[in-house]
Amino acid sequence: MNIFVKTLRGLKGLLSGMGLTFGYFARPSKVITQQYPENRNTLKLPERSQARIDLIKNAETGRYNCIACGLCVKACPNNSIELTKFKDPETKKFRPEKFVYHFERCLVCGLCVEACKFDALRMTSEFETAAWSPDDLVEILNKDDPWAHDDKSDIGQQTAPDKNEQTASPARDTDRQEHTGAEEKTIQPKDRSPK
Amino acid sequence: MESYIYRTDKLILDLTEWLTEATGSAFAAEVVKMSIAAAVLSAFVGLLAMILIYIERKVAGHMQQRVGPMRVGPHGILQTVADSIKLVAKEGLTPKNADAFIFNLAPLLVFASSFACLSFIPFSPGMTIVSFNVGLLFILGIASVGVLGILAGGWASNNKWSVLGAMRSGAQIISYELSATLALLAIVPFFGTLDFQEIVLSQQKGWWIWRAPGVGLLGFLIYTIASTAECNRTPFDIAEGESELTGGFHTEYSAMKFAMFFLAEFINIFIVSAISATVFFGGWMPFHIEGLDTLNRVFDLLPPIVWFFGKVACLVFVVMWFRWTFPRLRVDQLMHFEWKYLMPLSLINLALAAIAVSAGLYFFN
Amino acid sequence: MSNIPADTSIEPDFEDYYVNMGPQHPSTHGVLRLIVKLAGETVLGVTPHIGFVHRGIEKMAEALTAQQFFPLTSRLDYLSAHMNNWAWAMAIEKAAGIEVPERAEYIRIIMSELSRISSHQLWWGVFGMDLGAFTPFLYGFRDRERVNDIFEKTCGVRLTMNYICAGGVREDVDRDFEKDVREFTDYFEPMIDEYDRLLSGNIIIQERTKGVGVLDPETAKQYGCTGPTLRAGGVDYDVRKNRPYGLYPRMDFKTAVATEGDSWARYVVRLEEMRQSLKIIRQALDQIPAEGPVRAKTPMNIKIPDGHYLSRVEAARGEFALYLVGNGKILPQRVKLRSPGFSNLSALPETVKGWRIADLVTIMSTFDLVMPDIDR
Ligand code: SF4
Ligand code: SF4
Repeated sequence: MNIFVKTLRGLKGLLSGMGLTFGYFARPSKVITQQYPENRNTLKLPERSQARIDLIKNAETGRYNCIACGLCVKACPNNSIELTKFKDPETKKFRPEKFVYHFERCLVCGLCVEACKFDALRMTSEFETAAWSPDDLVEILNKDDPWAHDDKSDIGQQTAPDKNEQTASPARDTDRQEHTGAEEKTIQPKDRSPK
Repeated sequence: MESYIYRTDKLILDLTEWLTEATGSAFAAEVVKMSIAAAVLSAFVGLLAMILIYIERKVAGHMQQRVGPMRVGPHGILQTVADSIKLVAKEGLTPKNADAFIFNLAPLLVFASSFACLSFIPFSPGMTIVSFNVGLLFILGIASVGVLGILAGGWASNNKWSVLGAMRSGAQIISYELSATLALLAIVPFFGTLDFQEIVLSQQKGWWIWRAPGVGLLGFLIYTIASTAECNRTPFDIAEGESELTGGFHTEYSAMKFAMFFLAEFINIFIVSAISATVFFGGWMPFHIEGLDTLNRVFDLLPPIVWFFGKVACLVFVVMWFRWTFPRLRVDQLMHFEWKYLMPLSLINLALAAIAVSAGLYFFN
Repeated sequence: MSNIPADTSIEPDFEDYYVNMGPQHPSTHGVLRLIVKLAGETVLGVTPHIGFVHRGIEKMAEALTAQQFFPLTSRLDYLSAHMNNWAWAMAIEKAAGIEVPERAEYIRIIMSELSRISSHQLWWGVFGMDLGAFTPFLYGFRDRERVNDIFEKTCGVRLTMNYICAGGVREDVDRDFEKDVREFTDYFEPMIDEYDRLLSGNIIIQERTKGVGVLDPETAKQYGCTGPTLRAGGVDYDVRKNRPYGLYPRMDFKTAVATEGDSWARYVVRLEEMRQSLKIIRQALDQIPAEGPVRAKTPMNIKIPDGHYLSRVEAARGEFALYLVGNGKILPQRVKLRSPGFSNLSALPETVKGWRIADLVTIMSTFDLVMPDIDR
């Protein structure tokens, strides 16, 4: 008798599972798939959604808010930001010469944004960041500044930088002099190789 | 023309007649006819597998609240075509230390056995490629050649997981074949023939699933379970068991050789469903209820081939439904289930059938 | 060898047959390599090899400030990111004497329980897949998606949240947070019944898990197993109850305990844990102060005073403990992580002996291993 009860109970369990799957099969309205690239236009990401960092521009002056203080560089756990700065002769303030963002190393942790006291850095939700090679992920964030155009030849090799060495190349020097003629100083990520 | 759709036997007869006239001898006509059949069957196999794979993916998708393939073609109907092209275009690898001859032979063996089975299926009146008076027995015999291919493939791959998978599948298929065969044989005394067309014709008054008292239903249940196991489908897919054996016997196969295994699996599903439909559900015979002539005539409006494929489609859906609901059994449980429950049950069923037939217990006589 | 089923006979001179399970194997879930000694289908012994995703996180901690280490703790057991963050936050708070605002404590509880649920949802789906049923995987992920959406709305990220920080949480929750979470709890409660319908009630699952892979409480304790793996054996040990942290003492919930210690018990315990987590979340939502600070003022670089600090949390897989040695600088002198997965994995060879390959998969699945947590 026991075996019959067991068989029946087993059968009931199997059938109820089948009922469940058939229930979903019969109700196509329950489908939850989102057809991603097609629904790109209607895609809604939460405000806070963070995928990468970006510099904030001042709407009035058209300049980046960043004053190249280097706090974000210090805050970053993964040395994902490299920063060189110069003094703007007009405003007598420091400005980033090149704000290099190593997205390939970035943890998207948001610590840099938190560290920035000047409302110069933000997280964006632009998540389509795939690239063919890690080099493509290195980006100059202040790319609108005329002196920081797409020249990436001298970046990306400084995983263990020497603090005393100036990393200026001749081409870049002339570039800078043309535009600004100001002195420059490099802020490098701090060296965290174990002592 | 229209009547040919309903009376396919007439179509075949006329065709044979015409061919005999054209070629001048009955033998030549037969040769031509067989060549046509082989060509049609080959095309049918490819198409069938593609459609079944597509349906499987859609069924799986919707059972899981997904949509399945959507990108290639409208609602993804060309997806399997694209996949086939990919599989054909891929390089067929043979592992270095594999037994190359057997390794390459195995998928052919599996495929050929499924392919051969198809030629006995009665699609429509008169439409069987080989009419054979022991068709049912023959199909059961041929189907078990497939397991040789699986064993050989697993063994020749020179991969420990493959060997495990092959051994499992060998043990499993051989065991479950017994139940499947016994379940079918239990119905045989009722119609007293092994020819598929005659089996269908014997169900004019009602399908055997209910005409054979109790035996039909029980036989159908046993056959469904056993045939699912024979096809290596969940919940009996221990031979592949990708979460255990990383693919089992076909771990090392790629490209076309893999496609053959895959194709054979889907053809097998079709074949077991077709057998089930033929033996238990009247094959291409439309659904008839004695006395309700108007209703019967409405049912007759559908051509037999539609009835056949409709029934098969329902049964195939059930097999797919199993797959997307159930987890997999363990190998020893599988054996216990077969030898301790299913086998005795099918023997009892056979005995019951014998009693029922000798006592003349038929329904809807 | 106490767990060998009665019907298994092993010839002593059987030729040894070794198979390599992993590092690329569908059911090791990550890069775990098991060397399995087989006699036919029967597992005679298992040797786990780990370290494929070893990143040296403990050593990295010595070069990172307290703030900077948070993102890395999320990457230990990525399914209990909040709990791991919390453990580190608690250690820092203990060291630097930081008071956490009440609202933040509640948010931490809600987040932790949500991530426990999401972890178990994922486990449930993967468990089904390991046993050969694909559909649970999708259902589990379907429900997990909702939790992830809640996380994304508040923390901005879906998996490695880095939301809990020293002194509270990084920012206040999203304005829809309470509504979303309540909606989720109402939605998910019936879904657990659906899980029951699909898997728990299934006779195949029961046959494959009941009595399989019994880990008796004594062995479990010896190997230092924690979490559902331990509680399934009848040991009522839950950090939230036995060594309460945060505001857990204010919560009314039961630890899920079973007695058999087999795979089925581990399965049942996890399902029950989801229900209890829902209960905790509801209470926390009722009690949470509507307004208030969520983060205590902390310096950007927190100095860790001389001393030894220990913090433990109940992560989804068991007790996650963190031992911090400070020397008065901003960089810690030493950080030791005790991950639940590592101890649980060490009990695996003992548990699977004498079972079949398919059972090895079941047992491994019910141990719920996450490799980055084990390798660190
Ligand atoms: S912290 Fe802000 S202002 Fe300072 S360098 Fe970074 S982005 Fe610029
Ligand atoms: S998000 Fe984190 S890892 Fe990325 S740049 Fe900012 S601080 Fe560095």
